[in-house]
Amino acid sequence: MATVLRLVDLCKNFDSTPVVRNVNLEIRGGEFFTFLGPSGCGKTTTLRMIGGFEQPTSGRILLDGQDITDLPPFLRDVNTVFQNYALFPHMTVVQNVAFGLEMRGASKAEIASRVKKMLAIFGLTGLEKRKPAQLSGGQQQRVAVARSLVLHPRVLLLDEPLAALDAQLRRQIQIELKEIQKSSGVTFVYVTHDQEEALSLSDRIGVMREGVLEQVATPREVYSRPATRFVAEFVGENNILPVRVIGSQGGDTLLEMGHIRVVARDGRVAKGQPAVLAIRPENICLHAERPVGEGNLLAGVVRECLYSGTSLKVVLQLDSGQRLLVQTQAGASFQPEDRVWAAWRPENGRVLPDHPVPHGQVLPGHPPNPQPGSRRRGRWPG
Amino acid sequence: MKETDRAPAWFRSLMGTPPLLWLTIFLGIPLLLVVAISFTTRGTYGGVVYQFSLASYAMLLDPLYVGIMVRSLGMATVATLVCLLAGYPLAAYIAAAGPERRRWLLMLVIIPFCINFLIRTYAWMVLLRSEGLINSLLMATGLIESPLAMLYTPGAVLLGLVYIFLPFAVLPIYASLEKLDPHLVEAASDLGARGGQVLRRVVLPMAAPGIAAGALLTFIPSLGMFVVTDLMGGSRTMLVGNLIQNQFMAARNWQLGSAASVLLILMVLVGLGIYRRLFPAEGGMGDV
Repeated sequence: MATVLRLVDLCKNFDSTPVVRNVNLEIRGGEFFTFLGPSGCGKTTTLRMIGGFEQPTSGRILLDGQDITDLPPFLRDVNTVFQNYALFPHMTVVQNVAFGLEMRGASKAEIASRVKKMLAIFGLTGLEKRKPAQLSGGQQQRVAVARSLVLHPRVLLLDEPLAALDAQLRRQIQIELKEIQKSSGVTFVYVTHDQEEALSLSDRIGVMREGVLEQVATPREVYSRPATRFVAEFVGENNILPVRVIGSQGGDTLLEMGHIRVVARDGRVAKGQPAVLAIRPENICLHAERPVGEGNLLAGVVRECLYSGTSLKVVLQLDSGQRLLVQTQAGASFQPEDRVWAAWRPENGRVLPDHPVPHGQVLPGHPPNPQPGSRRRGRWPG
Repeated sequence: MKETDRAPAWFRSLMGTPPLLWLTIFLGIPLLLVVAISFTTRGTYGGVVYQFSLASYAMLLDPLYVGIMVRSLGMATVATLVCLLAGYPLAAYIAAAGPERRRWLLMLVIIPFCINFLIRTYAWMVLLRSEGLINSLLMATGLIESPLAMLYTPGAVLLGLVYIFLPFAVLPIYASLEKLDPHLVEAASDLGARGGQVLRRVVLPMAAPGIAAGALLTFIPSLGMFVVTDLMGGSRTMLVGNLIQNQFMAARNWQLGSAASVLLILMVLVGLGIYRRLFPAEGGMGDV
């Protein structure tokens, strides 16, 4: 598909603090693209620059090849769904949805028919005369999306549109959003700090940290082949074990973890560089007896078992003192204080360059995923 | 509210008693007296003869007094409009400023309240009179040859009213603009509205309760104001406030003064009624 939106060397400083650094990105037509990252990573600022609400410090924004960097919001063929919806409180549902069409000077008949169609698509028929304050959170959210989508923008920008909804409603609206995105064919650029949401909705994800786009890839790729330690920790649960690269053998990298040797079928870190090995909890097998044969093996003691219905999560304390999170079948019967062996295949370990964790040391299995309530207080979070 | 959240009934009525007493003694009884006196007969030397009469109200129909009423309404209306036109941009400017700057600007708006308004009015007189500061300056620079007659004109009264009541217009407008979510302005712009359209379709409707409250807070006191008219308008600009003052003090016609007061109260009530009709109790300033 052709590129719809292009960000070229996009930078933004607030005062002299950089919040977005040299973002280069091409978003394709009809794509569901998500900026994923913790609060303060610059994802919302990036979205606001695309919408025209923030002026980039440097860099260009191109829509269909046309430079829109200096255009005011009302001249850009992109629309935004705001985190708090920003519905006009003094207007009814119909007036809200009709607003954009009126501003474009559409005829009364056209406005009426397009608004009616939109309300029907979003299941808002019957609520036409209501004011936003008389709607539920989910209904307000639908009005906000309908109000923007009725204009058939080239790109729809969504800034954490589900953050204010409870978990159940959020899952339901996620499905609706994805369906509407598919059927309308409109390019969605979505911002969220919820990695699950990003994984399940997106065609591609751009993971941001401290203003830098660390990886742009499909959800599968981001999950199974994280490009950096931060991505490995932020997306899903991961065990991050410090290792030393001691050499390579065929396609494999030989690693040393304390004095235990392990192998990873992944070779992107040169010998001598500080490195970590990232292993997903679900890719580790637990054995009560030491298994025979080849493979990576670490010994440890079960410290905790967390039963979740579909699986059993086991926290191990390795002999080296580190903790290891393992996810096994719900039926497995491990008890605290059991001595066990953790095994994984070389292709399931990912070797990544180490870098200091900026937000403090994070335990494996506890990614630095902020809760909505702990978001940085400020006028434009994110 | 749940019944258990409330204080017991006896406590509530106890706490409600002082304000109720205060209102009865200082508002209710005087008001009743004024209404009663307006229907009595004037004695030969200005006393009150307790005999029912509509003479005072008939007198108010005299073109002289009708003229005063119309002029008062006109003056209060113009003062209110000027206060709104000058107050809105000021309020918008303050609301758009950063928090620190905003505090300072608000203080500047409120500071004049710290000085007795008689003194402030006299200060204006010093500036405006024939041998005052402005005229002296203009004469000294040779721009004019004879002093301009600025004081003791309807214009001076208008200036005085606007000066006194501008903060009463600015503060409620500021309060409503300050509450306005900046995302609403962005959303309007995002949906294709230009500056003027954003103002007309989103900002002004949202600020309307504040604007109306500001209008009311300017209009009502302007209508009854007599000190400013007295001092800055001289004897030439008589408004209803001056009329009432004169009837009670100089002319000793309490009946006519009371009737004019009742009329003034009725005019204010009409204004309030319009406001309540336009903004049915939305909380905040809506409960004026």
